[in-house]
Amino acid sequence: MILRQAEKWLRRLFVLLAVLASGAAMVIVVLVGASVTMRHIAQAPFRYTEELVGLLMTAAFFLALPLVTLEARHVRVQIVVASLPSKWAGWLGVLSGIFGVVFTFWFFWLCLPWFEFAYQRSIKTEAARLLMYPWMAILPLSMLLTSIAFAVRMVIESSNCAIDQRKSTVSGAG
Amino acid sequence: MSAFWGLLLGGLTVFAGSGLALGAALGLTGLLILKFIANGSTFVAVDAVWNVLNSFTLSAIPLFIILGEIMLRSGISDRIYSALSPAFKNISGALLHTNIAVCTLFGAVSGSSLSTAAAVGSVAYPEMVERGYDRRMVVGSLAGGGTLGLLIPPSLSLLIYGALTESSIGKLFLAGIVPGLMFAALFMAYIYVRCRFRPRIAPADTQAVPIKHLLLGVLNLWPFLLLIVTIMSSIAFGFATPTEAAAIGVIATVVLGFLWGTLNFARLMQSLYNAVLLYASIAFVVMGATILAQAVSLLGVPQDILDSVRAAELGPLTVLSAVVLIYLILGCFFDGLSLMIMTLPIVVPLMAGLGYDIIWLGVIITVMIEIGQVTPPVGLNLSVLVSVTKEEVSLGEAALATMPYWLILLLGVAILTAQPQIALFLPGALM
Repeated sequence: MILRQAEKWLRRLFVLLAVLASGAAMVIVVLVGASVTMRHIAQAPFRYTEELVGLLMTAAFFLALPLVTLEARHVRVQIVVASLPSKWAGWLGVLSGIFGVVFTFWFFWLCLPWFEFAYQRSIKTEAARLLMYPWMAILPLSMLLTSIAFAVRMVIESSNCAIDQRKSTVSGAG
Repeated sequence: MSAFWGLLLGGLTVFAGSGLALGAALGLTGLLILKFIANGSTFVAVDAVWNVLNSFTLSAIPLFIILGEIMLRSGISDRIYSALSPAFKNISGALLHTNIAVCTLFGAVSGSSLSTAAAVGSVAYPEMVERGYDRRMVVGSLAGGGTLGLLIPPSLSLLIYGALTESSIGKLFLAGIVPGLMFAALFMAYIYVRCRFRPRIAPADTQAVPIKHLLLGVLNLWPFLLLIVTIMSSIAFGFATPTEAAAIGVIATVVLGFLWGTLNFARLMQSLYNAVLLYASIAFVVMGATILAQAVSLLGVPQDILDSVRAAELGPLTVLSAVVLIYLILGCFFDGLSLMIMTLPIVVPLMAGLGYDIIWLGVIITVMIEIGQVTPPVGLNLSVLVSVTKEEVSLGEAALATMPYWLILLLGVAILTAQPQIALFLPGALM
């Protein structure tokens, strides 16, 4: 019950982040369109377009990643999972969840000194002098949320496995 | 080096085989290699990911995905289909040729074979089944035609290839045009021959179509044709970067969709939302592959393989055949774009070292991943079309029906190897 509640709230948060990511994508379209217009018509291109587009695109990806993970929309190789009986496939799902948590948490851990370095020196982009650490902060934040998403999926998979096991024990006893 | 290969193959088999997101499987393998074989250099991973994902060239990818999504949802494919269907009415195979022609045209804007197959399939399949066409033949033509979306520019795979190998995207796009048209012609030739010998799979339509009616239909597509020409020529002739061309394409498609009344605000927002989620799932594979690529290049693996190939005195053609075989095998398990992203760090330096042209190689790899798109059990084009048919055609039947197109694509690789100028002529002449 608590797990379902937690998943519901997490989903709301992740959908909100994905909506922000869609907003970032929309800004990219408008910004690049405006930049092309300014360059060809007014001969006055924006000097920050390339850098800002790169930052917005990175932000869009990392903001959408937790929802993609929670909804298991990732590109996956499912040939082994599909060929196993559902009980074993469930446990393999738990194992893949553990691997997912390990990867994202490890990457989150690697991001911390990298972010700290940029924050302490207030690193800015080369041409437009945009402060980078607010954008860079999205990376560790997203990795942390994505590892939570992997963990939630793992717990759901394991509770499904436990339910399946109980059902088969009951039907076996019957 | 054996520890590296053990960890690479073992890690990928265990992690990817468990059903873990492919990006995480690649990334985790890369981190383990960096930690245990490259003297703990895991710190390079974050910088590498940040630099690749921040690249302006790569930003064309989400924009082309948005373009494909908007076209998919705004019913533009419906309009193109109606305009082109009279053109092939009196030719053996009739609407099956229309499928290939519309896929070629749609592929010239959408950039993705999945969007192409889904958009054209959802319009063509119900119509053609109602007219008595053989269901499997329809699905085969749509799956085969759908692959053209990846080759005919602007192509997502050529974009990703260009961004990750730092080669000219304009040249890659130009190199994809003639092979794309060649495949379309070969597909049509196959349909023609097949329908001549078995006419009942494509019922003949004897009603003549006035030329005026035909021309008017095609002329009605002028904004769409203008969009294609603008996107392609602006990139090829250097007026705009791929990102700029894609953004202008998105804006033009939105305007067109609203003018034609096929798009509304809700659909536009839904397209953006779906496109971002699709982009995130692709970019996660790019992220994982980038970490693995760092490990591979830090350890100098491509150079080692190249040295071994030279020492074994294997000719370039033998190595190319081996690479094609590996793509065919891996294509059974991985989806096309992921396969390309994860193999580029080793394949491109190896083949370039053997003297193959990097632009030509981009086209060949794209054709190979197109083959992967229609190879079961993972072949995504097949899965999409099976769901378009509401499972009236099973995955096995779809795969069998697509087999001739699969063989034509493989034949195309042989033709392009024998005559590389088919791909390289246009970029050489125009850039």
